[in-house]
Amino acid sequence: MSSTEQGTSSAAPAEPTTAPESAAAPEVPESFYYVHGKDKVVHKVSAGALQHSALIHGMISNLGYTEEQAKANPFPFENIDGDILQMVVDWCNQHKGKPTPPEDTNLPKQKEKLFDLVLAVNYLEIKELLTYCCKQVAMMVKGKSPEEIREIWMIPTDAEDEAAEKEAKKRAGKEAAGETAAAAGDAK
Amino acid sequence: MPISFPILPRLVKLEILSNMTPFELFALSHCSKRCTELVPLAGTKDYQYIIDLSNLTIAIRAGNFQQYTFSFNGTLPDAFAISSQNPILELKTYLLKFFDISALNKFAGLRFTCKSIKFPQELRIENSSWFGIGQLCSAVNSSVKIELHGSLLSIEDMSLFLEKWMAGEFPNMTTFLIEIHSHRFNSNDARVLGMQLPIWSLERTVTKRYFDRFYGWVVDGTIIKNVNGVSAVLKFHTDSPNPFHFMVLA
Repeated sequence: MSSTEQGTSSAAPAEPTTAPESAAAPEVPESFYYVHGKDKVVHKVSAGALQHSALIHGMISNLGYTEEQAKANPFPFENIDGDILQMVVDWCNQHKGKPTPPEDTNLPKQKEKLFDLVLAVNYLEIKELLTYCCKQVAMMVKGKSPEEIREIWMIPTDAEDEAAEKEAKKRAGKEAAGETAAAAGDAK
Repeated sequence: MPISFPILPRLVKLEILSNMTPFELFALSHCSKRCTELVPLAGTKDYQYIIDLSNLTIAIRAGNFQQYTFSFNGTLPDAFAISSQNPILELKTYLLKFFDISALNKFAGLRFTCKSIKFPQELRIENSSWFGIGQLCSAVNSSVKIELHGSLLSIEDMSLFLEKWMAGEFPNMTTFLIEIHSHRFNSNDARVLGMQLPIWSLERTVTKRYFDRFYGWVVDGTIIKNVNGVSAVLKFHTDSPNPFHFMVLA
């Protein structure tokens, strides 16, 4: 497994230059966790950034990992492409501890990437990012005709839907017949 | 297999649809039967329609109180213009589709099967010549405010309606205000509820009432009470600018 520890140093907000408050309590060192996607590239992300994801936040709260345990056991998200996970990690780092702006212009414009990102964000339960992505998906069809919408969102026609349904029924029938035959064979 | 809109989770689709205008939802509903079934997720059931047959427009008031207008003869500057050789036919097609995606019961041709239709809370029809007494009796069970213009309801129709109300035959009545302007309210030579028209108060009165987000008032009305003890203020004066004005009191 390759490991690229990224996303924390470059994207972390700059330290304030004002004098430290003498009365302030000593800062608790930030804890880090590790995640990887389909490409097995591990991303180091601070707990603060991961707060955006309800799924990961829940996992962290339940597991109570130490720094070493977290490093040894990165959270695997095998259903998310590496580049998509990278985007999600970057977004979480950029918006760590900040109020989320009403618009986000850094989202991908290509529909395949955007749909992938929507699925990943929905899975990871990052509500704000999901809202942005859904707005972006809706923007894709602004002022478009039904034919254009069908093409952009890859919506099958009624005939294609019916054909797919028939195909699925046929396949299910075959599978059921296969299972019955296998069960009958086992009984003999 | 590339990811497409149809395979997104339902909740994600709902979030996407909630960011779309009625124009875009309408276009989406034309993509396939599945899309037509999907569109009501965006809350189209709560849409209020204002259909103006004289200007050939359909205005939609969405849940966020924004109003969107479809214009079928292209005369309204801020409206979404529908270009067509036959605007009336196009308007009918759009209406059928709208009622499809509003999950209301369909109507055949341009005649509503009104008994089963749920009327909007605020029902205002500019050219209501098609709206009969049966439909009014149905509408009072789902609408809060009813305003009919260009109606062909007769004094006898209104007498029948008022007699039913007096007898308590609308136990589920939701309407508090009815205002009707009819071409057939042309003479005060008739009796309604045993009273000679015009029915009004000779003393200058203004009865006002807030009901939910609605506001109503009747000028110079007279108070009547039905068998259930419910009071209403009625003004029925065919020479008045508001010939039939009826408001149920709290």
